[in-house]
Amino acid sequence: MRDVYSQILRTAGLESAGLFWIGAELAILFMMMAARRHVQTRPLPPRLELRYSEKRRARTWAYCFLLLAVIFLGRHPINALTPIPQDVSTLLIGRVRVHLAVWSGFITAWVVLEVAIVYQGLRGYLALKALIGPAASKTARPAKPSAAMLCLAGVFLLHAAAPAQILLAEARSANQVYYNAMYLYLRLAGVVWILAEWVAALILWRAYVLIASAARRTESADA
Amino acid sequence: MLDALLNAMGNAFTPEMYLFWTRIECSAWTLADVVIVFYLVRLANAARRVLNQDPHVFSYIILAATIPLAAFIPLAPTGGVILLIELAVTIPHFLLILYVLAKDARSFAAALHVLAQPR
Repeated sequence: MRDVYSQILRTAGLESAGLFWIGAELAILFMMMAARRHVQTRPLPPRLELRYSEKRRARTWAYCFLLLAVIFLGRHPINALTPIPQDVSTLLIGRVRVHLAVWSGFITAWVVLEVAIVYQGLRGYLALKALIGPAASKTARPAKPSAAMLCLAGVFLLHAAAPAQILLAEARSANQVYYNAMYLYLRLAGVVWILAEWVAALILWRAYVLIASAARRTESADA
Repeated sequence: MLDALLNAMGNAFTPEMYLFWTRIECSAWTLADVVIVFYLVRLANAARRVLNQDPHVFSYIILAATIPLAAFIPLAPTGGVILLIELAVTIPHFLLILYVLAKDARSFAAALHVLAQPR
């Protein structure tokens, strides 16, 4: 009986952390999109003002996120209130499988959000470079990277997600094999995550170099 | 065929391999996180310098406080310990990113406006 309740607490805690990460990524993506749009606006506005459509987007994303959080976390109190059957091990195994499916969905969401953040960051960086880079043309439109990167990530994710879809539909294999295959999916998604994180780090470093050198040029011009 | 694929994947990837690769991957993305937060704070400080505002110092302290924990990830004995370290490291990182973005979005826009003026 204690196993049942400790499992509920553990999975609820873990999924709360997962939802926090998704919420934070959504907030970062929202700000990156607003920042990218600002940098691409000509003439460059002196202040960052959110447009009506951006405020509406923020509200929509917040509502969707809250709804998802209620759906995912709401099952835990329901589980806690459900009478415990005689066959506890079957119940625990079933709940672990649902948790693993939810967790693999969270990981897929992080990877998709991270790739989207990197895409927005790259476009923002290119716009920044066109605006204040050493050879900046004040009227030039920033180069738009092709959507190939997103397509590539999408194809990879679809391939990586396929085993998870199989696993969701297929529950006939032995438990350990099921868990191992699910863990392999998590690690494959982790590879995409690492790539996206390092590309983001590279973009930020380049953006810092760009801003710092533009600031130095401005200081020496003003001196 | 699906059964065969599932079994092949499941049999090839053992819990020990999962823990081994988790340590490596977790270390790689946590290091990337540290670089991201570091350069985000530097970027914000570069923008604040243009506007003659005080730089972030507290953000660097928070970031530095997470580094010893992150360094322990490759040595973590179990997946549970790795997860706890990840929570202790990435939650401050995410909060720092959100804080810097929310606090300095307007400063950054203003600094960019100054830097983009023809001279």
